[in-house]
Amino acid sequence: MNQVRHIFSKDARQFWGEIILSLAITAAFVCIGSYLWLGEEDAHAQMLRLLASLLVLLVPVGWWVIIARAVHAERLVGDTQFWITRPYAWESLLGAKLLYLLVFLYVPLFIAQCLLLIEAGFPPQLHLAGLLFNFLRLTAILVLPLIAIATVTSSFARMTLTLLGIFIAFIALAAFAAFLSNNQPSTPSSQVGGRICLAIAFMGFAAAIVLQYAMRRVWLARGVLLALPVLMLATLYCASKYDQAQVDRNYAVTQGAAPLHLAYDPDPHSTSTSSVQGSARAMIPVDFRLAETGVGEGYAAIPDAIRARITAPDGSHWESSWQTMGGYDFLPGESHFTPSFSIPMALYNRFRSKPLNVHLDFAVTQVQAGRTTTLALPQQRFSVPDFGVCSGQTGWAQLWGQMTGIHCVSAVYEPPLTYVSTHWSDAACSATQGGDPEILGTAWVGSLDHEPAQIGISPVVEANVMLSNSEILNTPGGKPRYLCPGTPITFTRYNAIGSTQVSLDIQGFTLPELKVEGNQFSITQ
Amino acid sequence: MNPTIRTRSLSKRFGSTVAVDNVDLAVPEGAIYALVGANGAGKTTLIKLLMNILRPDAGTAEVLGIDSAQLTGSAFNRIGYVSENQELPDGMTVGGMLDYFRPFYPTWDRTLEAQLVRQFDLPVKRKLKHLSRGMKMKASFASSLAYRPSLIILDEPFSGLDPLVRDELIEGLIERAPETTIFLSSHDLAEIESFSSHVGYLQQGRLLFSEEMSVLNNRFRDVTITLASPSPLPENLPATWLEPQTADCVLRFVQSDFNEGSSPRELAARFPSARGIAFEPMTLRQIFLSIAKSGRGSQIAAERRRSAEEKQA
Repeated sequence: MNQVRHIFSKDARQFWGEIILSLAITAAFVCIGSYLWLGEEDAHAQMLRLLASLLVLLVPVGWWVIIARAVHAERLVGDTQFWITRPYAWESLLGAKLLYLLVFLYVPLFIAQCLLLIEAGFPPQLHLAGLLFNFLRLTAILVLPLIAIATVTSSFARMTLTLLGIFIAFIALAAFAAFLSNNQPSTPSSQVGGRICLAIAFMGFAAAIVLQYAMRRVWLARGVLLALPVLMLATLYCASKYDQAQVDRNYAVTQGAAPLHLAYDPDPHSTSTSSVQGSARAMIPVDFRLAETGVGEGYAAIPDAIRARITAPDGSHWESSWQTMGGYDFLPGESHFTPSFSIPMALYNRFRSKPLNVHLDFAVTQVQAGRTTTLALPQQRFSVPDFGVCSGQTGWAQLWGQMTGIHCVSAVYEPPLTYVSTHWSDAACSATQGGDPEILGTAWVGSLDHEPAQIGISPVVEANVMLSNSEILNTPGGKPRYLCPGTPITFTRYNAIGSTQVSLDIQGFTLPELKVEGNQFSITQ
Repeated sequence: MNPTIRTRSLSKRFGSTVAVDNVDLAVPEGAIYALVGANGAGKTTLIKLLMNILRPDAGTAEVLGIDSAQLTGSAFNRIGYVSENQELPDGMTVGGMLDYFRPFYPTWDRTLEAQLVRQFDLPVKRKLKHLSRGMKMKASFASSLAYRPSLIILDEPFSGLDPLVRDELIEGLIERAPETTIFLSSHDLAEIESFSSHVGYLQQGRLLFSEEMSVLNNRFRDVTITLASPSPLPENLPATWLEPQTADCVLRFVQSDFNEGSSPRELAARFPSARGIAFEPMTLRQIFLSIAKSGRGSQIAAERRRSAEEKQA
């Protein structure tokens, strides 16, 4: 007898109700999942989008039910189970449970993801690696933890309580971390920590499961599971230190021409006020306006991180760690921008009101324009090679038939870094009218990361194309602009060609003014 | 011949409680071995150690020649285990359970299965969760006997069952006895006395003795000595005389080393003025009550061990 098949058949017969429920949730998600990424905004679409969002949560709930029921059918906690004195081979028992998950969880999910990709306009066979990578992540983050918790609990109720406890602990930990990191700047992070954590999670959960099936050592398995979050937090901490060191290595100072030039360009007429939670651990943001020039034709420069070194007249100084600086992509021509770094409250008090010398290092990635695709903006859905699938975005009821933007999706991961440009029209489009060449709409979309897939129940990833100049300024209520069918739209892919550091010195800089208002710090600069 | 079950210095603690204390046990092949003792004596723990449900803190156990710690998977092809606390796959019908278990056992006998279903009057189409306790136990028996196991281990199998069900189960068990070894625990001495061949007595985790039922019956006698005149309890009585007491001219005790050939003579020599000495056979219940009350179990066990060692030497 093949025990694996025999136990699997028993579980399939015994839990057909739960299986059908899980499959029904998945099927419903396939039916309306596309509303998650369709740009439609009418009430019906909004309702279905909400329902699809709910189904994204319900799909794992369905998995939880079928996993718990199958594992607890031959529960591993306790000493009165019928099967432990029967000729079960633990390998077969574990194999049967894995087969059950393969048939009733992975295969339906795979089919669902393929159907969703087809629905979005992507051939699934081109994204098999991404789908499998997504499955690997879902396995490490969701499926294996659910199996592992089921193996160390004796019933569905206890498993539910355990999951609730984990959820509450997670919320408490997140709140505690947020309290500790009051306005802390984010630091550059590579995927090293995440990948090691993924590997630790995969191996740790798998070890606990195998340990339970092979030996039924409940407390040992529980110990392994309790040690995992500690190990992962320690890994993330070490990885953050490693990532700091990596910035200096990855963005080495080069002697050649800088990819861009920066100059301090204060605007004495402009002030801004921001506030942070008042506490001794608060980090005070320091803004400064810069002018950027020098990006060569066919290139772009992306500042990824900033590091500041402050020197006071008395010689005392402070140097920040690398702090993330996102949201800027510079093309040829001059532009102004206002980056910032954060300084701890205690140091702010030491340096405030003094003329300071500030040395800034920017970690900059230089990218070069690659494949360019220009097409006349179609009214229907259209595919952009190496990018994704896009469609015109319509506004609210009064704008039926008019495009007020474009909406794009990509398969399994966000698209590669792409610069999108087109022209707006101030007036509603007619059959003859196209975009106004004077009104440019541009957007940076995607990233330079090269992950095979991002984790998700849906394999279709929304790519936000936030075209600039989408509204006519100085009109009450902000009148929208339109994208007219037939207007040329260009997608230019950018590829990373190097990373370096660009430095800037500012003399006589003073830190912003800070006022205490209740439990808030108000910062004017 | 190797014993079917053997333990050596087997011990198990739960925190500060010693559940099984240094137990040495040997169950010969073909025996119907009854492990008796009060509730909490450690019977279930001992059985769970034998079945590798629990792991011992010290000592070893062998079941069918296999170290109990290695007792997994196919080793259970030859063992039938039934416990009063054992769960069953409640979502299945009785027939579904038998269908499910059948392929696990190469020696499963469908004719015997049908016979057991008839004998126990099992409702094959009813779900286990809807069965009475007695019916569940009968279903469990049927699923553990149908593959003709070499060893049947039963943990309090008749506890809380009505006499009719109990008799049915005992009957079913006795029918299997010629082809198997049966090891069962019970705190009800009367129910096992009729069919057990061997008996072991566990008290507070310690095995006080373990021997054939006939030997046990032969060596215990309720002794009544009628003396010529009232006299106090003599001093320095042998440790093997349990619960000695006097009333007027009568001295009564339980002799735990009775020998049909020598004991009457020895007692007559010790009490030359006795007007009468009567030896009454004892039931298992009486024997164990006297041991328990006397609190001399450990001494008896030590003496029995010493005597056995002397015989071996």
